[in-house]
Amino acid sequence: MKKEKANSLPEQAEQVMTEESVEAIETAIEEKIQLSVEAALTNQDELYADKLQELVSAIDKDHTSKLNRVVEAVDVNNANKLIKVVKKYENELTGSASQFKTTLVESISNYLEEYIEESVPTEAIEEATQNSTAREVLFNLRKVLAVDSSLMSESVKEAVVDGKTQIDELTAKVNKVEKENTLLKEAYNKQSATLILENKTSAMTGKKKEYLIKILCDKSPKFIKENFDYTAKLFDRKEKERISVIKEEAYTKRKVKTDAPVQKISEKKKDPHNPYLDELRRSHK
Amino acid sequence: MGKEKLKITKFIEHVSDKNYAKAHKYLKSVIEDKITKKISNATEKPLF
Repeated sequence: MKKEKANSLPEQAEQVMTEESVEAIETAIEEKIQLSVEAALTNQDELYADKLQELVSAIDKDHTSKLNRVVEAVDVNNANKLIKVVKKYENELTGSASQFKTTLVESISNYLEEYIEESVPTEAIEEATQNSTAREVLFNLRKVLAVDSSLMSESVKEAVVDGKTQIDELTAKVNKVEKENTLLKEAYNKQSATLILENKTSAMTGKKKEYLIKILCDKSPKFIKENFDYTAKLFDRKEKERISVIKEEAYTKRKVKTDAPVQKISEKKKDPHNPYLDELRRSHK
Repeated sequence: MGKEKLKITKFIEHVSDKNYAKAHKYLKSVIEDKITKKISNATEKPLF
């Protein structure tokens, strides 16, 4: 080492300086070098430490953000899954529970139906209601027909039946007689009307007679008596109108006209005196 | 029918709550309704 150091000094310096001074210089230089190296090393250490610190903090940050993202993603995923689980649970709870409730209610209802059917059969209920209704109907019939215990014996029953037969026969006879009476009344009315019409129109001319018979032949005698004169007058008026129309037609269609010339008489029209108009004229002037 | 179901539901509720008095009341009412319905059905049938 010493040889290396000695070689490092120039030859003139070795000639001038003694070995001791050279050694002292070398020692001093070595110490300085060591100090410089230590200082450099320390600086380097500090620099590297700072850099490492920065690197570690950067890595930490990066890892933290990544971990945060991972945690968030896991959270979201888990939350979604939990929501699904909750929804499914709720559906199961509400849907299935309500279905179960309906089924249970229906089962109980059916069981009760069966039990009642077994205890009180429908046939028995129907028989009971029919008995009750029949009793009521019978009671009402007895009331309507006035049947009491005395009328329920056989002999009275025959008498009642006989009476009913007689009543039916008499009713039929009355109906028949009523019909005959109606027919007779109709025939009488017709004859009477014809007779009245014949009497009243015996003194009349052919056309008027025909007209009156045509109008009044199907009417009742009372109606004919009340309206005969009016109908005759009506015919007379119509006849008169017809004749006047024929006369007019003949007059217009004639070939020789004997009308005298008409004198034209011109009259001077006098203006009526109106003071209001006079005043208006004066104001215009 | 809706009224009957409601009564049966009430009956179940009261049985679950061990309130047997109320449960008995509703069950009795349901049975009465059923029998009344049967009787009215039988009454509507013509006698002849």
